[in-house]
Amino acid sequence: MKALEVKNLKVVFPTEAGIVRAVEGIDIEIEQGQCAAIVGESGCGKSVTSLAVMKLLSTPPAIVRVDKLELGGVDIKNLNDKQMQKVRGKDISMVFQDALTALNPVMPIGKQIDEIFLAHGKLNFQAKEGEENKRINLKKEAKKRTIEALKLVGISDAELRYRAYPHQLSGGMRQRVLIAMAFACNPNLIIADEPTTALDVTIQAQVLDILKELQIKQKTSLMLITHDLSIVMSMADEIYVMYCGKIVERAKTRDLFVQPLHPYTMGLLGSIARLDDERGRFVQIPLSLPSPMRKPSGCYFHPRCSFATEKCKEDMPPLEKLDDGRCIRCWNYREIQNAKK
Amino acid sequence: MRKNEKPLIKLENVSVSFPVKNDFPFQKKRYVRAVTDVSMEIYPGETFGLVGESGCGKSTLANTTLGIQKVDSGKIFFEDQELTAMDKKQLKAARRSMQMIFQDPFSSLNPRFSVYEIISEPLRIVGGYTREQMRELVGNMLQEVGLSAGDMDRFPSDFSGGQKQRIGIARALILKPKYLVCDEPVSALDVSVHAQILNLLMDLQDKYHITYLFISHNLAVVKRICSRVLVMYFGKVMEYGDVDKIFANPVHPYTQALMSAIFDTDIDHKHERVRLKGEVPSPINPPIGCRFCGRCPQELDRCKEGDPPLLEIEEDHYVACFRHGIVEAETDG
Repeated sequence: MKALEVKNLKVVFPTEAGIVRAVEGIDIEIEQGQCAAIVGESGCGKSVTSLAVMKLLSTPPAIVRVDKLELGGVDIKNLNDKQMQKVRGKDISMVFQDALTALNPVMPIGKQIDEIFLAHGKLNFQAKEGEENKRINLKKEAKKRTIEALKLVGISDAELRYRAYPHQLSGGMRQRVLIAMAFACNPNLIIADEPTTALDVTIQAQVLDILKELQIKQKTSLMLITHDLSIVMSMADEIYVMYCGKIVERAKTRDLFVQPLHPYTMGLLGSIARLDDERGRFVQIPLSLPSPMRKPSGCYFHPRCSFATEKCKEDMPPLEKLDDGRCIRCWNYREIQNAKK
Repeated sequence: MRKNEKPLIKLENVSVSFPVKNDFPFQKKRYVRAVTDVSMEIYPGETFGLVGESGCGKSTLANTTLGIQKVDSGKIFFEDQELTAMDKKQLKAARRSMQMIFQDPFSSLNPRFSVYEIISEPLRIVGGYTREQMRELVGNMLQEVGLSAGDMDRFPSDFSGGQKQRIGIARALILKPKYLVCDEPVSALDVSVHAQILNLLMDLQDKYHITYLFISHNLAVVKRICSRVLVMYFGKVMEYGDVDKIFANPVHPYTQALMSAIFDTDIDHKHERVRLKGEVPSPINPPIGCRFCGRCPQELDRCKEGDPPLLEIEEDHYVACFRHGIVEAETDG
């Protein structure tokens, strides 16, 4: 069964300066228990994709079109806001980038996690006496579950931290709270949108370890959204590379790192500094990202691509599916591979 | 210390602390010790890396080398002149040959200034140039950094992040400085632009023989472009010296942890990971003894008692860790 299936997702933002086509028809499939990473630079539409899957984009201004949006085999394409609220947190949840803005600053973190348990009624507690008692006991049960959830993400003194406000915690700690919240109801799918970008490198490693460990332990599917290819390798099973609102390459993690096919992926991998590098210049991708309102004609990457031909300037290549399930959007990938040999 | 070579910048036992705002009136004044007893030397023409996590005092240390930040104690020399003994006027003159580029090009350029005004501002402060001369200098500088002279009358909002950082570099180099502080010059930019800016910095260094102080949290980048490095944790030097020696043989557990926190992109080449426990402690009450206590995976009883001294373990490789002597003794015996 697929944890997530998205077919032909399009998101458009009409603005005064022009129409921004943020996402231009992308397909995503995530198998149950797998981790898929969406990699791309700022403005490539990766965050918009995650918000569209959560149905958190406000329409208007955004215009969202999708042929198929299924979560664990259940169609959520036509659910309205109220129905979606029951799905979010229970079947699908999200870890945001900036924990300080994602958490409520005037509420202890424990209470915020309690809310998820109370809202989704996943508490196996039967009331014996009157209504009043039931509510109090529910809250006690929620608190118990919250403390368990906090311990699970490696927060020491969970009972003490239950009462802490977000500003009293460090950045890494806050991110763990967000992860605890996301895993609280053991959802099918968790979307992590740049979960460690705001953290220091040693803390980032800790947080990613916890995320991976929980994902495997709870058999959750994970959609990891990031601009950093180097963190993806240890986390993801499959990688989607996005550029200017389109998927340019989709491959199993190992294949992508061993043999990138798209020139953009090659450039990204080449520009990452590695520990075993010699001193010297970096492989660079020339120019900078095009404006989302004025995307180039033909293949969006052609002005920056060193392999571009006349055809690339005129026609957008299709996302071609190869035998091993790999997808690639490039006219010349065969020639490029041959030239490399 | 390198023999037979004169350092461009020399720091001797520099300490900097900042007062903390009191929570209650009449409370005893508290201080954050941002930099504690740092000595280092930067040699002409080299790229010197400064590595550490946020809040460890990297930027404060960089500011002291520019004479922007007053020090509590210690001495700073720039080409034999003592910066710490200068008055304001002398400092201003000395600072002509030192410049800085900043992390965030979006906030370090005045949005109401044209590119010409931004880049020519240092020239105007120094004085003695006519408008025609300045326009010519700015035009040449723009070409050096990969923009065109025609961009002179546009405004920062017309440029992308990478181009803005190029403008920042042009502004820093217009006075032909000897020493340039690069404070995380690429971390605010898109990944595909990182390589462009780093390559540009290296090309300019070759051309003008500028000495760089390169602040970064990415050890892989530091290894690639720097010749010497200083690893800082909580205002103290953990490991310092030649890049090749430190990367071949990282002795301090913190350096080891930083190195294993860089995720390897070579899929068959798995390093053994060193994971740190705990969080970064509060800078107001740093741990007693070694600053790294509590997070160190190889902690000894001794570490809680006293500060380990910075010892030279091989030529141009210094480490502040008690474990080093013990490891040696174990392998010897």
